Amino acid sequence: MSTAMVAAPALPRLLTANQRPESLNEHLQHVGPPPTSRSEADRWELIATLERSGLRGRGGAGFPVGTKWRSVATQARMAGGKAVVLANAAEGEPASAKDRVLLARRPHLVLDGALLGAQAIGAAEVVVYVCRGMVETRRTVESAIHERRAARLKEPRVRIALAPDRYVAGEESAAVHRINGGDAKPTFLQFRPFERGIHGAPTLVQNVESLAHAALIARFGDDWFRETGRESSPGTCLLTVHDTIHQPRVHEVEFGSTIGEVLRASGPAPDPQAVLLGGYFGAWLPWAKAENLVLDYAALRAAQVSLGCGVLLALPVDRCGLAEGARIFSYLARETAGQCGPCVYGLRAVADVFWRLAFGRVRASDVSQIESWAQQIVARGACRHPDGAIGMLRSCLTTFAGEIRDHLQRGPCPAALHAQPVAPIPGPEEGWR
Amino acid sequence: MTQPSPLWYATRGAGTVALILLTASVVLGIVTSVGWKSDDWPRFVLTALHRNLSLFVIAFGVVHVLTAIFDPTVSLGIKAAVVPFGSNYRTLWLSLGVISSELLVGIIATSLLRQHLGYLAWRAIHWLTYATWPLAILHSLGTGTDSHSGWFVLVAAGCTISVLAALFWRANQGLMDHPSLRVLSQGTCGLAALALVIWTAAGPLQPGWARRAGTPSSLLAGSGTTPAAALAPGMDDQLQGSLRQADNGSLELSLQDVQQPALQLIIDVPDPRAQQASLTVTQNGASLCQAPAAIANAVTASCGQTQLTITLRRAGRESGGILGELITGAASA
Amino acid sequence: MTGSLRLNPIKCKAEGLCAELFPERIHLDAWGYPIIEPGAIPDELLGHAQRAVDACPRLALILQGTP
Repeated sequence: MSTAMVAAPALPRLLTANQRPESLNEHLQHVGPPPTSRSEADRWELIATLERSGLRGRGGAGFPVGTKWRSVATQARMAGGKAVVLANAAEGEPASAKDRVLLARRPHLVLDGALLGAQAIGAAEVVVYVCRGMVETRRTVESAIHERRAARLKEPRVRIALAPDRYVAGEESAAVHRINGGDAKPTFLQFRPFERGIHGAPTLVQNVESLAHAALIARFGDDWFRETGRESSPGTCLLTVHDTIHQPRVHEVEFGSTIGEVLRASGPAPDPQAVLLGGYFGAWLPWAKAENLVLDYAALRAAQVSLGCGVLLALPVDRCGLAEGARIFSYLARETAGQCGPCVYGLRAVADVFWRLAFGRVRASDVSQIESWAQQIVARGACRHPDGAIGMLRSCLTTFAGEIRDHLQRGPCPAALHAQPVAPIPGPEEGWR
Repeated sequence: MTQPSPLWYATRGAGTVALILLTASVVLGIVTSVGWKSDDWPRFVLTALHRNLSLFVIAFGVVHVLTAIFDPTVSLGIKAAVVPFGSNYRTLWLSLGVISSELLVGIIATSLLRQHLGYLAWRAIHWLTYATWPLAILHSLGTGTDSHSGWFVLVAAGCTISVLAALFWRANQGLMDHPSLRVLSQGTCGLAALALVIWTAAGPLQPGWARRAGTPSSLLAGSGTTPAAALAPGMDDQLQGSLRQADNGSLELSLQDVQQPALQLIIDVPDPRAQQASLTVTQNGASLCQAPAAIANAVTASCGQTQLTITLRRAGRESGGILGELITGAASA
Repeated sequence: MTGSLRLNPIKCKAEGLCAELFPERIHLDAWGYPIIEPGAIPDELLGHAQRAVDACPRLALILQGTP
């Protein structure tokens, strides 16, 4: 039930047309003040509302947000009240821009969500975790924090922590480790962040998009949230759409739309041959399967794909899927934290063969070697990075099986050798802080 | 000087065994540090052997130290064994052994408590093992009274060569991609070994090392600078030597003190029918005493405040071979 | 009493002693890193499992007991 004093927002809910950052006043006029919890019961009521809303995390794992807030709140109560909120904007995914764009336009909505989370779990501190390279975003968040301090809102401390521009820096335990003073590399500890995280306190690690949705749900209720989308996948989500015709753009999409509808919303374009959904740790799908695939957690799971961090990359017919996959895979092999043998050596070995399959000469026996290596790589690292890379690889080899036969028989196709890459690949980075 | 007690032999024996075992343990440690293994020598065997050898080093080290403490020959005392520079017996060289053994005990303790220390702290401390071996070999060469004896030199050489070979091999394995660094480390090890050889040749293997190493003068063979001290009353030494008769009939007896080999006695008998002779006592060639001697049942003479009594007999079938006994006492007024 | 083995993949540096001492449940992958068969370890093999845990130079192997 809505307790807000302003009208509940229609679509789009998160992305305003205005590309400027929303000031504190504009934000309050837009969605009204956040509900304050006056009692313990209010806190748990907010958590229950989130659970009923069916909101799932938008960082990549899709974990139900209400459930997560409940776990951390329970831990915090057992740990004697100390807790921390980590608003995760360290978008290490090169093809994703949604967190950056969201913070650039609605910083206060995100901060509201983080502060509501702090209320719910009893945290006295909020840390906004952003990549060093996100210079504009840092500035925007800093201004927003200043604005709130100047407005003397009775709120817990909010500070910014910087992440290196690395792929795995946004992983939950890597983020906590970085903020605790170490490298932004995943850890293998006895306790997960929700039990012991920043400075040993129970920590709520939540993607900034999830926090923005939560901030709206807290004001307008779970029924309102469920007014769009589908039963099992309510609400909207942010997708970063790449095709080669238009500039990469962040779209707010209702659950229940099809991938075809999302792509056509960018503007007219010829049908692609395939799409990559979820991110560089996501999955390739041939267009025949993707065009009418409904964006819905259940439907995606049935198709063995996942929303991930909302990247939707369309591969035109005049490009080579193996080339794109090999480039992405080499990037992922380069971006390991370097801590676990099977990931470091396994991804490197596979990347070498995959690259030669796409761009050079390779034997059929080498390609079948990939799968035996893949089985020795998955689920053997401290984090899911190798699993994601292998998942993307397997879907690529399945989707582009025809191209594999071609490359084995005739060598790399002209598209592989000469066409412009589609997936953006950053240059090499050093450093983990 | 009295016969050395069995403890003295035990000290040298245990110390030598400890050195050999330490060498073996260090070599194994070096070899496993670059992950070498073979089908016959799996890694768990190599590491277990390394660990057990180190424990044996401690065992023999304890025997070595205890026998040294209680050996009346040198009467070191406990302080000398646990406090570096706490003894006046070859202070520096002994201390190297003390430091080496204390380092070793500490390192082994940290290895046994590795679970609580964590890998990085354990590894950092374990680097100190590279110091224990050189300290041990310098200690054995500088302190050991067997330094100049052939068998020990062989043992020391064998140990040094083993460690050097292991270090060279490890540098090859571990620094394959850094040729300049590899040559530098191998060169340093080689130079260190060469320095050890040169020092050994110029130091412990040279006569007079015992004194230069800091052996207290009361323990040195032919101790002190005064003849009276070298020929102090209360001696009861064996003598052995030879008898020569010149054409003119005079006899010359050349005798060496078995317990104090630096002490030589020459008895000149110009006229065997007269019962007079002259006695010359030298120490390391330097004359200590020259005095007239009377020949009765024994040869007697006075050197300073000391009365010397020398009894002689033929050595047996060997013609010219003489055995004897030297007894000294206070000179009567 | 049974137990299960858990590997810390960050500490593990492919020293290989665990596979030497407990080949019943541990074998090495193409890069020398241990693959541990999942599941409970029966009583009669627990001694080997403990030996493997004790032998790991990096303290990367943990035996979790369930009495």
